[in-house]
Amino acid sequence: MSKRRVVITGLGIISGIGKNTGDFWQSIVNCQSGIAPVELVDRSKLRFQNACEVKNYNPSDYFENIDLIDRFAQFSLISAREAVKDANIEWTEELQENTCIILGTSIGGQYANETATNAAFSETKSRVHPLTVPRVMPNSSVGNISIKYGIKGASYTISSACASSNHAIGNAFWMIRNGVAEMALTGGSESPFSFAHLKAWEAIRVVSPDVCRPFSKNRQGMTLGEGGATLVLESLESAQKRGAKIYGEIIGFGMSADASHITKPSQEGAERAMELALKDAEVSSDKIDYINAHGTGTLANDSMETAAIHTVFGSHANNLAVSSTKSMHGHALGGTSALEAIATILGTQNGILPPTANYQEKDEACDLDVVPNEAREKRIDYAMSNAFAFGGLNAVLIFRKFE
Amino acid sequence: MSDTVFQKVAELVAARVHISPEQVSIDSTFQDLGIDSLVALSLIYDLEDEYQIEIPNEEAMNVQTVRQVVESLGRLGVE
Repeated sequence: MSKRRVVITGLGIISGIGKNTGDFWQSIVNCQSGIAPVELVDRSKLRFQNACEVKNYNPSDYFENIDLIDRFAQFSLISAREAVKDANIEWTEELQENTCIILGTSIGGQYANETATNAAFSETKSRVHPLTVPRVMPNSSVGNISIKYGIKGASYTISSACASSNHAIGNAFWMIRNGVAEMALTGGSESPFSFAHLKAWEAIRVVSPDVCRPFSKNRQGMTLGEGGATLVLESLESAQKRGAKIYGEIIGFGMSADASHITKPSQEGAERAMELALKDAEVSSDKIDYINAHGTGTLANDSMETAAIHTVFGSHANNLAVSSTKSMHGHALGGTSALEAIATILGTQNGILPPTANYQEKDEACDLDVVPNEAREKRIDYAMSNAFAFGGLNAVLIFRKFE
Repeated sequence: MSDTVFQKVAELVAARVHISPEQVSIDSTFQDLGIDSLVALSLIYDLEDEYQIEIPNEEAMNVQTVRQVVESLGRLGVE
């Protein structure tokens, strides 16, 4: 089967650094971090104080009725709406039947889950709301988008913790490349700010007490974020036929599993995912100009990821730029790599290296050009975006500038 | 059949489907009112809250009109 070229023709996003694609990109270019004191829960009961929440978010600005839609699914619907509009799609019955929706989320409807749990264990009220199941289910974002646009093709949710959205985008990419679908809405979303879930992150002791400082010697951990991002993918032929604007091209996808430890990342697993993505893209490693790193800001990830990049890229590791945009939009778990895909695509399209914010001190174990604290103009022909999840599940995408 | 109960049911139905209580009659069907199976579940939840009762499945699953709701509540001792 011949491989079709797959392009990105629509983008939509809601995040802690911008509630649409333009604002998100401006924040990246300005190295503007959205990390601030937690407001969604009582932070006096938390050991960590900061997160990257979507501030001043009022669901009624976007929805008439959110009875069935938890916050993470709202974010997917909002970003899908922007992406569909941006791609200027004219739905026909044939297109609806040949479009797929593949989204990532790690934890699904946490707020409905927490509300139901509280009610179920309450001494005065032992019953829960009848719409709890459709609110909690992680595939509710896909189901709601399918209903909204009448999309009837293969659609599902992928949950692989912090790699969920890269797995989703990669699967959608392969489906279009192989002719299984004509168009895809893909990406992911997350909103992890329910109180009990934050306590779980507190307990596992990987959240920074101040801010996420990827690759910096004094880094102390990740900062949680939230949001949603949706990409419209289609074959190059389809995009050109309908005169769509093209943001860039997806050319490679690689996946691996560490098979070693449930939370500690494995260098070998990360290397294999990057190598498989390069092989899938049919490009040599020295073509890559920029890597949007997994870059969580934890001691374990950033040094492991640096070492893996050295192994995969050899001496070229010293020529390429590597940054972590999590320093600005936070770690939005199952949605994060969709946010990062958009940062990578726009960086490639605009010839701008997204920066690593909050960087303070060089670490010899992270001796790459991490584009510290300031975006930089540079032509980017090929870019990679990494995601290495708890569970030891890895997913890497490769994008190419479209000209 | 209790008129007071009907008035309260009409209010709760109206709130669920975003219409005014005057638009709800004793003979309105769920279909007329745009109440699908999930909205019906939410309405039953509201009624349990309002009257501090537990509506068993055999009652909940068999109501398709406002009249049936009021009659069902009557069987459960709500007047």
